[in-house]
Amino acid sequence: MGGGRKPLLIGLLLALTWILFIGLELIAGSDVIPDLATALQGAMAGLGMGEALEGNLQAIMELRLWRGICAGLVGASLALSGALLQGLFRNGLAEPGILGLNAGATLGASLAILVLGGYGAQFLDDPGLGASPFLIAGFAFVGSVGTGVFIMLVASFGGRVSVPTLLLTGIAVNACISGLLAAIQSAVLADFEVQRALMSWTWGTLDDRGPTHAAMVGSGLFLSALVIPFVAVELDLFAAGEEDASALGVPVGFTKLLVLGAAALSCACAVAVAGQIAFLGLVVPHLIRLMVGNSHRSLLILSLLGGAVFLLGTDLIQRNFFGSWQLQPGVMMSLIGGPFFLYLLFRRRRSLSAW
Amino acid sequence: MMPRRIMSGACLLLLCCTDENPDAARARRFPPVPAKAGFPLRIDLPGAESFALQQAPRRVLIANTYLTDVVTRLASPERVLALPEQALTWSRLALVDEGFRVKASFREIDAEMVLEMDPDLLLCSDTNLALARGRFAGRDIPTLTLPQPRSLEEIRHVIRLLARVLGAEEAGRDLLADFDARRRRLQEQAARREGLSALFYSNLGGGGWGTGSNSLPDELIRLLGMRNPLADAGRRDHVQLTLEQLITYDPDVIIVQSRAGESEFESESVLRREPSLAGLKAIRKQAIVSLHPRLFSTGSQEILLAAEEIAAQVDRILDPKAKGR
Repeated sequence: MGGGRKPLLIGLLLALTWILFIGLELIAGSDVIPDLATALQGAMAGLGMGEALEGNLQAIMELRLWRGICAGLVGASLALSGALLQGLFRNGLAEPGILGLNAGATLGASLAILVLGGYGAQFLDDPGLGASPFLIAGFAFVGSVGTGVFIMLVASFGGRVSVPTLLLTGIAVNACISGLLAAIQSAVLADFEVQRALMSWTWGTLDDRGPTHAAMVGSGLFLSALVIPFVAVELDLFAAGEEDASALGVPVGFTKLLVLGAAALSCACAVAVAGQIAFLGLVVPHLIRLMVGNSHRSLLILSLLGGAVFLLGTDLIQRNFFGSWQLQPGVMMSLIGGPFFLYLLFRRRRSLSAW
Repeated sequence: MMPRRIMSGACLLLLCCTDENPDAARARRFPPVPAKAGFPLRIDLPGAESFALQQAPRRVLIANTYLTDVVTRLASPERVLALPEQALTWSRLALVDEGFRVKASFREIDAEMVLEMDPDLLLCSDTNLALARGRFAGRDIPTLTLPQPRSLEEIRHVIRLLARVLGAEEAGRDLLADFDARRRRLQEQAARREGLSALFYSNLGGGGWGTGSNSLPDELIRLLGMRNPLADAGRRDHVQLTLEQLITYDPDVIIVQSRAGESEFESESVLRREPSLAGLKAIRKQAIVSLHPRLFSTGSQEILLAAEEIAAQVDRILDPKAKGR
């Protein structure tokens, strides 16, 4: 098999697995297990094609369909964001969290939950603002993007973004936001309902997602993926250092902004929809790198596909084997991804040390 | 040595996972009620420790909201040194004053504050690890640590225990008599709701929660003659509940928290706005019962207020003519 065909075949396999896993999502879940034909009829009706199923079964199928679609898109967004940042920072430990995007989204969502719990200003209490789940996603998105932009502004000087300053600013802002979140949780300690809502959002969730959630994360992913052809080769040239890349004709400043913007957008949309899902943006690009090497031309697109398959697979494991435990995707990701990643590192530590 | 430790650990884990007899569970979680009333009083606490009082306490420091509910029914305001600030919103003191609201209140309490106030009895919950052992810079302050009750029998036990500790036998008897009479009344009317399923549900837009067995809400549902589909499905305690699961259980009645105008975005509005729930029996029949969150979260005798409110609302839904009753 030629080196050029391997990424293509892996990509094809991942894309087919993505579709297969969405199909499996339809027949996994609570006690209702329909046959595949019924499940597909419900899914098609959910997309506005075909006849709806009887009773509550149609509603169940639609919830499962949107859960599957959102899981795939969220996984793809986080993995793409991680791959972009690892390439930009030339550091395998880089992930979306260092830009403060996760923390910013959590802060935004926490403020929205406080408003929903009756702690906000009266004008925010207007039902005209829209249905509450979208208020949380909207606040999370604003919090995430706002934090990312703030960190990038602080870290840039004279139109250039300094990578070490960016990392240090990210650490400082993450610490500040952690303090704010702790203060919010402490302030509503006695309010069981609000406390519980805050807690469950920080675990990350794919429950109860709908078409609006899918549209939000899908558009973020689509816009971010558009930059891949414009930055893939440039990121390969970054591997030798910014000065070498500049000498080879790479517009360093522009590329950095493009990569940071795309990584921030895809991550912000994903976190706004699904809460904090740790580890995925870190581990998936590494797994792909182990399969196809360091070239960003294959790495970025395969990370996108791999992230979708990874999160959907984790969700299927959770729903089929740990259903009653209600382990959330963030928790599952750490429990499965962590040991698996350690195993791979142990097996391949010699080859990875050269990266 | 190690295999034996592992075996003991495994046995302990197995014990924790097995359904325990309610009396045994209560004996494990709560200190016993002393057989004799009066002082000096001594209680053997779990873990070979003991709690002793030479005389009836006059400077009581309460560090927990549900204990505030009980103590403010048993003791006069002058015997209470201070209360948690949360109790002014989340205990019965949100509705009544009785001279307790002017008491000093604190947001959080630590050992230094306890020493400064110098109480002759500290009542706290087992979650307050800083206070629970009752040792403050080498000084012993009589400290009674009580967990949150999970059943009506555990609430009775707490009332009996605190009445004895506070030397308030008569007030304790009155409170218990009232508690038992209200409970009996609810039991007598339970038959009219037989066959109905009911589910506690909470969702502020960030994901739903319900309550399974081994919890006070489950006991309330059963006390009112209904069944809890979450408990029937083997779910215990407070559990996350997706919309899909809610549709699968399809209860006749959904009990939600209502913040009484504090916010428009409540669990009830989530239920009514979510298109996938439109086919639920409870939504179609408008069988959504709203309670203030204070009644949801209490672990005291006040929980019967929640039961009475649920009963009244369910009966109105079942029989609209009963509105005036």
